[in-house]
Amino acid sequence: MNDLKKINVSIIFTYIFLIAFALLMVYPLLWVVSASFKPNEDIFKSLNLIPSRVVTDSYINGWKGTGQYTFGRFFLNTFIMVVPTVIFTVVSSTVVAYGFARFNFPFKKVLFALMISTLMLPDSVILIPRYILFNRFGWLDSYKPFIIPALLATAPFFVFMMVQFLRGLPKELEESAVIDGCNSFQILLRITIPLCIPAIISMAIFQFIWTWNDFLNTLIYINSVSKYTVSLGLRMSIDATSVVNWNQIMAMTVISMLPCIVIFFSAQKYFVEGIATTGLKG
Amino acid sequence: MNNFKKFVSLVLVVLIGMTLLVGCSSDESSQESSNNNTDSSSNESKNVTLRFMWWGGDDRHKATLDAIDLYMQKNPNVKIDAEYSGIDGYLQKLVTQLSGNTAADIIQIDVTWIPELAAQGDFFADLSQQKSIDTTTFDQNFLKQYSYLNDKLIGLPTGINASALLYNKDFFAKYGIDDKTVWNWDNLAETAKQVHQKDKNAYLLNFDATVSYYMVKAYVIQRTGNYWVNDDYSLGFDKQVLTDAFTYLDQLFKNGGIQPFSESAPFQGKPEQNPKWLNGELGMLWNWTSMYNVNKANIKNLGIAMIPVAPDAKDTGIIVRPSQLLTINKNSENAEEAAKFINWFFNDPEAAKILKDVRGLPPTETARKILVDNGLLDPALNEATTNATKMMGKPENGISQNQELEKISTDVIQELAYQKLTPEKAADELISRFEQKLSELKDQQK
Amino acid sequence: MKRYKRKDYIGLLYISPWIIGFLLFKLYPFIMSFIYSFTEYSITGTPAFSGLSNYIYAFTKDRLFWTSFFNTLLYVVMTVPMKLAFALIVAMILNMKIKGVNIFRTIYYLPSIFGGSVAVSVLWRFLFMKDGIVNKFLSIFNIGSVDWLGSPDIALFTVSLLAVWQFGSSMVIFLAGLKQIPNELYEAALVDGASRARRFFSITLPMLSPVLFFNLVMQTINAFQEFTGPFVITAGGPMNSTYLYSMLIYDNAFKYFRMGYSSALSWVQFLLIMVVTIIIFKTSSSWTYYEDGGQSI
Repeated sequence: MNDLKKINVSIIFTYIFLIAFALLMVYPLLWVVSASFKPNEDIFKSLNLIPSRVVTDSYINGWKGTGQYTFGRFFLNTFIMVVPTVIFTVVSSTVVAYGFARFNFPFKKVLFALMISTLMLPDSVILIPRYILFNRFGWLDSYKPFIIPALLATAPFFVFMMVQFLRGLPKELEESAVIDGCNSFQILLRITIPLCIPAIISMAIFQFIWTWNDFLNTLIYINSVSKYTVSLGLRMSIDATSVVNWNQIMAMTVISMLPCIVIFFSAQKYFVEGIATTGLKG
Repeated sequence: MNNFKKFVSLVLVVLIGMTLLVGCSSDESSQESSNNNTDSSSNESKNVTLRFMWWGGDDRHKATLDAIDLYMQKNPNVKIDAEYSGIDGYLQKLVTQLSGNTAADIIQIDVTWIPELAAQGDFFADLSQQKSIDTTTFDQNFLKQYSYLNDKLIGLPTGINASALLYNKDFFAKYGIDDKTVWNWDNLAETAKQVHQKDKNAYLLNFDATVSYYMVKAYVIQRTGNYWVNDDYSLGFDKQVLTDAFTYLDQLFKNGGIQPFSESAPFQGKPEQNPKWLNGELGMLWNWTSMYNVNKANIKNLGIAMIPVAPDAKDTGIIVRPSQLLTINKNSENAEEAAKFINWFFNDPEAAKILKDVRGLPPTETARKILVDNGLLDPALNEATTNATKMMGKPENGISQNQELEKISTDVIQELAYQKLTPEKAADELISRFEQKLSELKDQQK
Repeated sequence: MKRYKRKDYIGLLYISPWIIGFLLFKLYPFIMSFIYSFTEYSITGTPAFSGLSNYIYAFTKDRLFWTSFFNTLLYVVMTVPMKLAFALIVAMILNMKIKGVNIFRTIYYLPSIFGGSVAVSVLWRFLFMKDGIVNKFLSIFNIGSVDWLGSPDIALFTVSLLAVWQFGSSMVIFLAGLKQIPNELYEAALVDGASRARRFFSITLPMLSPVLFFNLVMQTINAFQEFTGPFVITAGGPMNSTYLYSMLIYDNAFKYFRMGYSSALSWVQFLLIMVVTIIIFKTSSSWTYYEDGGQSI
């Protein structure tokens, strides 16, 4: 009886904690949604969540943009850029991480240190030499500066992350597979990857959202408005000396977040199935 | 095991091959596209593609796209690629493109970037050499002051921009301030004090550190009649004048003339977004005429007045400068066609009607007249700009607009506002930091 | 010296995509920025060799160097532990079998989806300005209003709250790590009658340590380079109290066009981050546990 009470109390506290913080997390989204329905001049004037007058044309006009290209175009462009980038990142980072985590080759420590160290120089100084490089490759005004580096595991964040996950996996399964005569690639495909599905999904979620939101790099590499991504579209009419239709920007911010929210919501479900296979051990 | 090795090496070969292939093939295509223009121009058909890069808001984008469409209709051999964006990251992109030699043919630049860009190299074509551009429609003095660099006309001003006070007429009515007041330093300080005495929540002035810097500069220049910083990198003022300017500013803070920085800090650099200003609790914003339309969209009864000028001012300190410049890339292969477009852009009556005042008050008399005749121009804005032009002071020289000096000044002004420094100490501090920075900048010149 | 077997070299094959990527995309910018750091170079001009003068200038003459340096250290010290602790606690709760956990997870990840968007900069100012939402909320409890963004003593803290608020990716990584811990371990511990705290310290924490280590390293590196948050909310003010090192680098590169100096500043930062990371790596052997028995690489 006492035990039951204890559990109930702790569950109630958990819910209170979760809901209280959830409000903090969700408030900004509510604010943006409400701002998207406000008349433009009200957005900076009042903090109220409820608009003084509900405006809906912000979604229609925001979608139309400047009239040359709609946000539909920008969405399509973003998918064309993001989807291959995510797939390539996941594949290449997993393979490279497997190499770092499972093999003892010469200069491994040096190479690994080198990889991590590429994270430590700020973008500001890398930007121009990298731009000149991509210009030489002839990749400007295309999505190649995003897609092709992804193919070559140039995001150390993900490689490092996968290395940590792989090294936290129990070794017994792989060892038994070696005895069964599997080669290392077969082990990777059949045993290792299924074991770290949660990590792989996290990687895909991150890369999707980060590439989706990437502003500076897309700005630098994309010139044609016809190739603009959503994050460029969101900022393409912000100027200090022009009247900015903030409610349209907020409306498009809401729309542009939807794919990320949907992706996250549907992907995180797979977290459950993570290590169900450890039962095999016995 | 062996099979696997084969597989891996195959994957690798494909990978490497792909990158090389992609590299090569696109290399060609990029060369192609850059050669394209020269090829076709020699083909007599003279089909050219011009890239035109600008930043702005929706109105500017739409108007410019319409103008481009009309121009392309009239000149079927010319195709203009519009590369437009917001202001965020624009300069960073432009600089990157200039260094990679990939910048557009026609480029919009801000007038405040010119000194820094000029220090870096020679990027823009001399428009006075382009026969197809008629510059006689512009005020020649105005061109000389801000658009010439080393005797070359590097761009044409898209609009006239002047320092001005934007004020909320409802606020003025509420606190019994005369709408027609001609401001000088004394009545400004007095009015500011009275407003705050009447209502503890109200402040006459919406100043951030940048605006305070404009004010200090104007105050000093009116006393000295010099440049803020002289062309030989010496200071245009002495400690006494600067101390007086800081004392004046300090009094405004202490008497509640300016909303305390601790409250307005989140809106540093964007005072026009301060909710207190939008809700009519701040009366006046020292800014530019180019900001009139933005503020007008939010404040119903917006007035525009001249900045305070001392009765015995040696120079009014009123700045009248272009809002932006349209330039032609020096390396453009189609400079002539670009020049033709620019000429049409500025001088054609139809273009003027489409472009309205999306880049500020038009710089040519003809364009202004067309807008006035068609009721497309706010009379208050037009009048304020005309008055400012009549009263304008000496144009600012390059070094006075230096970004690093501005940073030093706004830092010191903040220390004054937070009462970490007395006006006198602030003057000492600014002078010593200026002298260090100026000597460094001078060394770099050599 | 260790002798390598043929099998070991297969590892090189696996990492070869990265090696190619590094040689193609990373090496050139890396080397160029290093060379620029010894030159006077303004982005478009020709770099002129100037020896160590950029470095000497940074340490002896640039007053913003030390200001931004200490601001950044403080920022790192404030954000990293707060963010990781919060992420870990939330991840553990969201790892439980509770109703609506999918929705809670998504809600807690929302702030991270915002990223550095325009909406965030507007919103954060509204939340924390003098008459803002936070102060209105506090006034219900009779707590006087605080200059969250206006006081030079508090502004950096307020800005770092944004980083903590965007704790979603650390949380997701923790969550993925928790999912990898075999259930049998907990079952066995329950049979032994281990308390909740004991289970946490003897199972969860060690099994999670590689992931914790990863989050610690990455969040530290990221915090040292933080730019967007302070840039869009306070632009470094008031009185430079939120002026971070990365903003100094940015201003010198793209506002003052001193690319050479900016590169030197970057390499100073590079070394600093490197040292801190090495320290974390070296000390990690005492608290990280790997299934393969090795150390953190």
